[in-house]
Amino acid sequence: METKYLFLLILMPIILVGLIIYVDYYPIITGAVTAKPEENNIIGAYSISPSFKINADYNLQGYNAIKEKLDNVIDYCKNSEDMGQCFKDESKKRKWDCNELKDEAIDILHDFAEKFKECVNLEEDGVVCRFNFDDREIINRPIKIFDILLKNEASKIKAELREGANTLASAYIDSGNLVYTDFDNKNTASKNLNSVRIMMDYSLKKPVIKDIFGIDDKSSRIPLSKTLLLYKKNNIVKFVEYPGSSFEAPIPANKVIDLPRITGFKFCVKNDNDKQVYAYDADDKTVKLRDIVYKFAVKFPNAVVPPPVKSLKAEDKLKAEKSIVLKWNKAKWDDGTDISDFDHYNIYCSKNQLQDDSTKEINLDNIKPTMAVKSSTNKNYDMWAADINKCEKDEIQDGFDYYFTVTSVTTAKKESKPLIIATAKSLDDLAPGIQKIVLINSDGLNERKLSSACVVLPKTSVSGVPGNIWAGFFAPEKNEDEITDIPQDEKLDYYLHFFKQGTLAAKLDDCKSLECVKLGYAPKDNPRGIQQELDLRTFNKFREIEKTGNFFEEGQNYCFTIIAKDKNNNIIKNLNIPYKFDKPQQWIDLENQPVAKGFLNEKGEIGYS
Amino acid sequence: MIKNKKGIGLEWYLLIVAFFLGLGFYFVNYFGQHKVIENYIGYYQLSALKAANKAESALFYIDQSAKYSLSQSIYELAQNGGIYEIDADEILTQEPTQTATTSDGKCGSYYGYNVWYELKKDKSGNYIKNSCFDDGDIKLNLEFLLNKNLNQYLLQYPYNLPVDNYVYEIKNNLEIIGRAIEPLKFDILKDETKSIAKEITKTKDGSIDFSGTELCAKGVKCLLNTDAYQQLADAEKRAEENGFFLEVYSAYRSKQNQIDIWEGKTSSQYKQRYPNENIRRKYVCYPYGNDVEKRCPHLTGKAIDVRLKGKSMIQKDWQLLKDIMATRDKATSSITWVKYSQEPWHFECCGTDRFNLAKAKGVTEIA
Repeated sequence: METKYLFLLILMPIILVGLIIYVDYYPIITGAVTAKPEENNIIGAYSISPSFKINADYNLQGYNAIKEKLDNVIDYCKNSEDMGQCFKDESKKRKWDCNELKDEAIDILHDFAEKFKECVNLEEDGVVCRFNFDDREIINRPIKIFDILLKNEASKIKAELREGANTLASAYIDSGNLVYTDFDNKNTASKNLNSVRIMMDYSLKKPVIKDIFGIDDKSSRIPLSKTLLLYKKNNIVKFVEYPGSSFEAPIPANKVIDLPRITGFKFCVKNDNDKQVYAYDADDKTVKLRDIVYKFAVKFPNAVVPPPVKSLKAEDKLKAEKSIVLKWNKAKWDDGTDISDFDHYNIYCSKNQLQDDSTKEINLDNIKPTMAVKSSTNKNYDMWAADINKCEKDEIQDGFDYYFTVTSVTTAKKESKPLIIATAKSLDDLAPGIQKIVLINSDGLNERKLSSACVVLPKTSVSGVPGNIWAGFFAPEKNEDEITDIPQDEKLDYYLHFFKQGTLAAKLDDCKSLECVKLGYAPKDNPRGIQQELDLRTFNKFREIEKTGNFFEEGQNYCFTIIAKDKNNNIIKNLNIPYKFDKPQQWIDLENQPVAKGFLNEKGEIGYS
Repeated sequence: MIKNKKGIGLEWYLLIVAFFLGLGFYFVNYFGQHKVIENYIGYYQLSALKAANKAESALFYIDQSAKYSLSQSIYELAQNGGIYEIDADEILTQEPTQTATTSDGKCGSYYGYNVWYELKKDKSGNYIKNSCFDDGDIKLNLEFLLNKNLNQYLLQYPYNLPVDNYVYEIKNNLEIIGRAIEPLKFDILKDETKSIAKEITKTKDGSIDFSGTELCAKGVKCLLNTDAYQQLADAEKRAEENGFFLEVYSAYRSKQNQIDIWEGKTSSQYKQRYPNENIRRKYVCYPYGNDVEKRCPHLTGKAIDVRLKGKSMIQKDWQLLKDIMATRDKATSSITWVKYSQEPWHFECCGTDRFNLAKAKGVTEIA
């Protein structure tokens, strides 16, 4: 055989295989007729591969480009105080805004659907999901009565927002069918409902749930819990029957998960090259050339205004000067739940009334917080207390009325409205502290002790000089709390009590008896020696003691106690040796719930001590 | 004149063999039975050409449909922010023992807009940025949408075009190749004037194939076990007595088919969309293991997803369907079909685990 034939023979299978691969790779139309044994009216079949190839002048990379830009926007906005506003501004700047007509009422429906879904998708099981609509305000809408009607549709729940007979909007929730339970059988009971109706009324701008009821298979009306409670067990979410269950009260036996309103921002980004495509849209039910608009959203932490502090008490700080103690219960939502993103409380103080005369509302327009208070232990105390020494920039002064209000602040720096004012006056009820007493007798013995000391009165000497005790003292440096200093210029009175050892002294704050001497001057302690500075008083057998007719007896031990009294007549009444300050209960309360105090700097940042 | 002493060429031998073969065929035909052609010469060829024309029309329709579907899909995908979650109604591959959900466990939506990022604060108050949108899913989502939209077009075509019949290949800027899994088949008819109704056929393994019949939804392959088909036919009679018609849109699925779906070898591309098996199990029945038929009753050929033809299937329609399907036979008072309580469209019969359990309890609906 000639070489060319051999070559052709070898080439044939190669061409065949190549053709098969080509046909397989490129979907060209290939038809084939096959004959069939005659059966009925069919004598054969024509088979063809319906593969296709289509092109569009469009690039999927557009998504990546937008995502990168969005990354930048988020990085920029995450440091702003109001993230929502920042997104709004950036969206406007980049022409990314959605320009949708907004109806707050329709958002209520979405709120409900989203929260329901959130409950369905919770990882926890055997929990109660609780939510309300209080965090949404309705503005500029004439009709304020709505229903949310829930119906079963196959394995979904269809939620419709209705205004009278009109359906304003609808949303679907994938959660099986509508069921309810009662508290006692919450784990096992799942009774079917055909529909659920949630009736809402916008009283005072906020939506209030007027009634919730379900309709069962027998068309009976089942009243459901007015606080929207859903019990989630084994991936089934059940409404809760009302009444007769402790679902209405706090539920210690159940884990309650509050679902706050989700905050986020919607973006609508038009395709860069203004590419349009023919498409159908259910909104206008037509097919026409349409812009390609990328629609997406970003969720961020809830920045709702936290609930206000509803109880506040101000009182003078006991055993203290120039300070006032504020006490308040922690701020909570109406249903008793804590603020999930609580950060601190702001304390406002003024020497003037905080209420506006005409509106009677608290006006903090021109007042900055005097102090920020947060827990030192990371616990959100039920009862908070803080002692206040400053009012705005000045120190608190004794004897003046001060007005206070407290607000709650979240981590998103959202601050509650001030709701309540408390007023108090600081009083000086702090006595001067203990001081040193010095006793010297004529035998040369000397005692130098705190507050109280005893020494023997020596006998008359051979030369007939009677034995003497000289008593002197130093001025106290600290007040009775052993913390605060006594100002240098403060004039104090001193009571020097004396008595035979083993006998009780008279009342310390009374110096009318013969056993007490009022003294008016006391030197400060100094290292140069006691002799020079002391205002020494002499006591000997000619001095009466204890009662009229009793005189100092030589050879006996005598005790002397010195105590100071300030200008407000504050004096230590019960002196224990060794001295120990008895803290008032108010102080103990403050110590049990320690707080960190923060002060605003010029930039408005809080620096905590 | 032969000059080459080595002998004649190979082609001459082949020619001689071909000559004798041809002679043999001639004699066999000449002495054999002669077919009498009832119609004019070229009639069958014309029928074949007509079938080819039908196929060409269908191909043209598919081409145009694919173009429109792509435009629509590009628009819809952008409207959805590049994310497309499979809706519970769209899941035909899932089995009733699992719970369907549209949530993918990421960030969900915000007032109808899919969330790309979710910001959260950590304990120290710093923001953590959680990305909820994977760029890599865009192609998959576009494919899924394209397939869904294309199916809508295919169902509108007068002829029964199979749905979910493509594996897609997407190239950037933007070229899509839709490779057909099954070919289109057009019957070549002996007599064009006699249109024949599609009849049920028995497959090699004994199943009943009722695809293309009134009982089976358009574009869907419908096979059932013989007993199950008989029960279905009885149910259809009951439906017709009440003025309704049944329409089965999911019946028997082979184990291999289920494996293909699980492994992402179909247009739904479940494996690519949900690489995490636990999440994928929400959407697709897990096809491996000894208890696969228990978990995936569609593999038994004794389970169907059915609806009432032409009905919007609101609550009362589902109740009606249940009354027709899941009842007791008048003659034997035995249970016909058992309804799966979580999915009003799913019914089983003829000895599936769920059916036996319901039978033992004496109920026609079971979880």
